[in-house]
Amino acid sequence: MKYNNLKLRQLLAAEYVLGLLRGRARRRFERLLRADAGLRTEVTYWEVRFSEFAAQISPVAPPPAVWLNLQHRVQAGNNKVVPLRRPTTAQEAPAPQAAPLWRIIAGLAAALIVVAVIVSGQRGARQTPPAVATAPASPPTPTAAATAYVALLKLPEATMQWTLSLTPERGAISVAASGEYAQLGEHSLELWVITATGPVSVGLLPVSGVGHLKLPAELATGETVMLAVTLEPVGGAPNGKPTGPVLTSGTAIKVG
Amino acid sequence: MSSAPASADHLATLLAATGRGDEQAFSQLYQHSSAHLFGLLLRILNRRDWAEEALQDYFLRIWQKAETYAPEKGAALAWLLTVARYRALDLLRVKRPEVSLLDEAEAPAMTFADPAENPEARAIEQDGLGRLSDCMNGLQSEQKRSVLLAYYGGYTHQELAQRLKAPLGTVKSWVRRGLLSLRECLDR
Repeated sequence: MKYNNLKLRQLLAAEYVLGLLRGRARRRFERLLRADAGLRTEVTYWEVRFSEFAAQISPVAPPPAVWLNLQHRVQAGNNKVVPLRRPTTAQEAPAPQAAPLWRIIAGLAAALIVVAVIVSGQRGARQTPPAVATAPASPPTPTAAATAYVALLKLPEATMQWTLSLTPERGAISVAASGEYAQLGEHSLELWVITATGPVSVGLLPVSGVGHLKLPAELATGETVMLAVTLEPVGGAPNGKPTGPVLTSGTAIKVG
Repeated sequence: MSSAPASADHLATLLAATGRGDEQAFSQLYQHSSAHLFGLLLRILNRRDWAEEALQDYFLRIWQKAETYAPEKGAALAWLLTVARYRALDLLRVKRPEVSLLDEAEAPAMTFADPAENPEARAIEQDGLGRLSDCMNGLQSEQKRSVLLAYYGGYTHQELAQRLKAPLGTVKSWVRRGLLSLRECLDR
């Protein structure tokens, strides 16, 4: 093919941008592209114009787990605040443990939908999941329909799990723990709310029974609240920043 | 491009700050662009799990500076969408054997959304472009379908021939004639 023909160059650039050039034709075009600034201008021309197709597609909000996982990976690579299970020396390399964590989060998201459905189905009768319904010391006020979020956090490779009910207006989180975490040893399990500016400590999770934590109202706004659990020294992270690995994470979903 | 809209300016600023390792800017960039990118990835990949994977990998690449923006590459959102689409096509090339091509019924709509309802699309139009829809409507229907299926579905010439039930040579000439008319119209 003659690459000096203007129309042909325009055409090939358009086909390249559309993704129609494949195999040898594509590689040859890319070789030419590196050496030919005029051809690069043709490619940019079509990229910019065709992007109008893309801009016309209705936006779809991605599931919160995508951002949570990204944030986790960014922090892991950036300042090692939340180390991955295997320490890595490469600064720019993609985090090798990402796929398993991703699956955990995806699985968790599915589990959360189940919890949300169950809880919303029971809203007429109770405001909190059955596991913690008997827990609040203060008598329930049936008229106050406070905004509530629920979450189920499970530790992978362990039976330990928590059902959480968040009522930001009352500044409260109720937690019901069940199962076991044999690897706990001399550590505490710390719960974090993930905000746009980073993780904020909520407190230490009980490993059995029911507990209550304080929840600053400003931490829980919007449709979901992102949570994470880290393994910390006994008593929690000393400086209010996570120091141990993220054991699990998940999203609390608004149910009322 | 002299008077880029505020939102585009904002995204360009966020991209620049993200390039300097600013986590806050990265978070805002995600907040302001992820829904557009996810919508596009869903449309091209047609599978939610792949779209989620692609979105996450894409933002990680941006964070790791594997993708870098410069103003001469066009408006920030246009660039973000363009590169996201390339990454989705890369993914399709790897995974295509598993993909059944879109059924005719599921094929992308051949009409265009009202730009008035889509401020970002309008922002790109304000860039002095925005003639694409008009010019597309000037194409013959088979030319138009070929171009749209290639754009939204990542179809190859062979796949287009299969989908449109036409000989390969015919499909190639639909595409070429369509693109040449499109160019003529856009430059008018």
